[in-house]
Amino acid sequence: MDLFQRLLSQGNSFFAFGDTFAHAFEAAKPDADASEILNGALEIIKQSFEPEKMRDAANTVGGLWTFPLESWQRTANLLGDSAIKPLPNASLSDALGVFQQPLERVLSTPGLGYNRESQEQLQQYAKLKLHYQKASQAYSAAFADMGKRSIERLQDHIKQRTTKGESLITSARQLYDLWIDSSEEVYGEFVIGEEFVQLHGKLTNTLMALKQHEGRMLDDYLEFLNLPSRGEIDTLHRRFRDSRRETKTLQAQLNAVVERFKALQKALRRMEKQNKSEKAKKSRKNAGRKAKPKSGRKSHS
Amino acid sequence: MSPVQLRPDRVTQEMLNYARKLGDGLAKLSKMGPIEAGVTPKQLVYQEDKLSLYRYRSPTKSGSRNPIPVIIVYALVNRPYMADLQENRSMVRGLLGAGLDVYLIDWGYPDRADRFLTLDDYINGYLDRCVDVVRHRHDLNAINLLGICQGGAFSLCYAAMHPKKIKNLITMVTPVDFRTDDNLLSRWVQEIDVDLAVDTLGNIPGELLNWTFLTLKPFRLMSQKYIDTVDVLDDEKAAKNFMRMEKWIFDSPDQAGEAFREFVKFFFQQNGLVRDLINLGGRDVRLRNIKMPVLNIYAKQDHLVPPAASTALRRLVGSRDYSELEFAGGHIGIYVSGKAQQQVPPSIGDWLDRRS
Repeated sequence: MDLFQRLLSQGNSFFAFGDTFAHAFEAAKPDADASEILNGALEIIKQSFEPEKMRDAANTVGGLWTFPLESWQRTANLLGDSAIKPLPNASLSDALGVFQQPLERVLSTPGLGYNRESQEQLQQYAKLKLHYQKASQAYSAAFADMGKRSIERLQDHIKQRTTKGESLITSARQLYDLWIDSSEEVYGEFVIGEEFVQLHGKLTNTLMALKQHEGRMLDDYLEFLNLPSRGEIDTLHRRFRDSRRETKTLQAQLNAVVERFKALQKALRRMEKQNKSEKAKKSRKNAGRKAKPKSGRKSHS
Repeated sequence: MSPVQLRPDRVTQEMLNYARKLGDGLAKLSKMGPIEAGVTPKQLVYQEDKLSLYRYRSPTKSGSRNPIPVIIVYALVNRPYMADLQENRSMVRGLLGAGLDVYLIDWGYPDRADRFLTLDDYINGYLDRCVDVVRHRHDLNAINLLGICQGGAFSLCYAAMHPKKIKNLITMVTPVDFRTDDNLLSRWVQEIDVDLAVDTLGNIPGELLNWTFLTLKPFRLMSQKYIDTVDVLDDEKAAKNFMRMEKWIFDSPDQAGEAFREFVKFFFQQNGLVRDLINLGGRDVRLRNIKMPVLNIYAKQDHLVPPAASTALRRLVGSRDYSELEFAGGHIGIYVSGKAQQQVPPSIGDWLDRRS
């Protein structure tokens, strides 16, 4: 099912891309310059990378650049319910930036009274959510920016094609493939740099911190209900693994002792056999000596 | 004149053709049934926890020509049937054809009970016991080891700690120097708080690793691939090949938490193989202790393990018999491409024959 979804969503993105050009060329005046029509269509695609449009599910034309974000979202969802979707519109996202500091101050107010611990736990939870939200917004913004640059790179490639005298692009597919090449180039240049490494790290680490806090809250609740917590099960697993490791080590040592014992037994048997054959040899020799009359002894009978 | 000459009627027709192909392709896929992978007959010879050790049966009655068996050590990420994907794309089959007696370790799918498995457990435990099983079966002091990707890094550690048990070592697309400039994966991992991730998640979900691998080249791997596939879905054979590969890509076992933590810290963040910093279960891992013959195979267009990350081995091993084989392809193509089938297994067979 997942594969069907992938095939369909990629198809949608490609359709929207082709459709943008078909419309642009159709709507243009007969004497309009093809380069201008093309650039106009590319400008439409570029606009789809504005933050509010990036978050619009109906925006399929810039879909190529939303797939990595969607893929992260799916992965984050699999890690638990805590995954937060990017804020639905730009104004909310901007508001988050403006109110972040005052909000953090409010959330840092010390807890008082009987419920102070759970209050502090919830405050911390809200803070961690904010941190993840901020990291997620920054990550999305970087993608929006790269998306815009991918269109500029595509325009550069088209220009270079003219100067190099390369073959004409006559299908939407050729143009789409060239956009994919341009996108990989722009992406590859950015993601190897320190800025992206930091963004990527923050995205993952803030989600993990949030999940960890959730886990602690859940563990507290399970203990309250007198049910086994994650921490307790981990302790059991750790002890089980330690015991198993010790058993395997002892087994290996025992095997080595058995092997040595077998080797010693073998050597002993060999020695015994050797001893026996030497004894037999000796006794045969002695028997031979006894049976042979001694020369020079005379009978006095 | 503009180099882009799109006519609206042609673009519309192109889109209609694509939509028709996509519709037909989806209909065909829905009737395709289950996709099988792992084709060569094999026998289970040893099992422990989730691990299985298999011995492959030679397709020829004459059996193996080379008296020293080889164990394939695959990575913990993804499944080892990549080495035996289908009849005409099987490295295992190629190795059997080259006269080798082939064993393979399948690490299985770890669950929460395996969360505290360490690299010491994997390498000095599971792997060592598999080597002993094969040594005893063949009454040999030393056997051959073929490590793939992360399994190659494990094989290097093993050969460095147990050199007397390994006669010849082959590493394929194996990272050694994790801090080369072009190693994108390593760049990203530097800022990941792996303690936080493992302490939080326990085992690391396969989906998280998959997302990481796909985002190394997101537009080719998440978009272009599916657009291109629509063109071949009317060919049943090509469609099945695609499905088999797709099944493998998304068949990602979760990673045992402690082993993952150690792998990221020791290998990626500390670059411990190069800097002699790895100690597993009280044993130091020093690559200079690898004195047996080594064949290091790397892929020229590998985006996961750049060639420089692999070829660093040359200056680090203690072996005087070190050879390299460059494959003109990528990290996956080295197991499954037609070119790889012709080049890689016969080269391994020849190399081992000369040293057995």
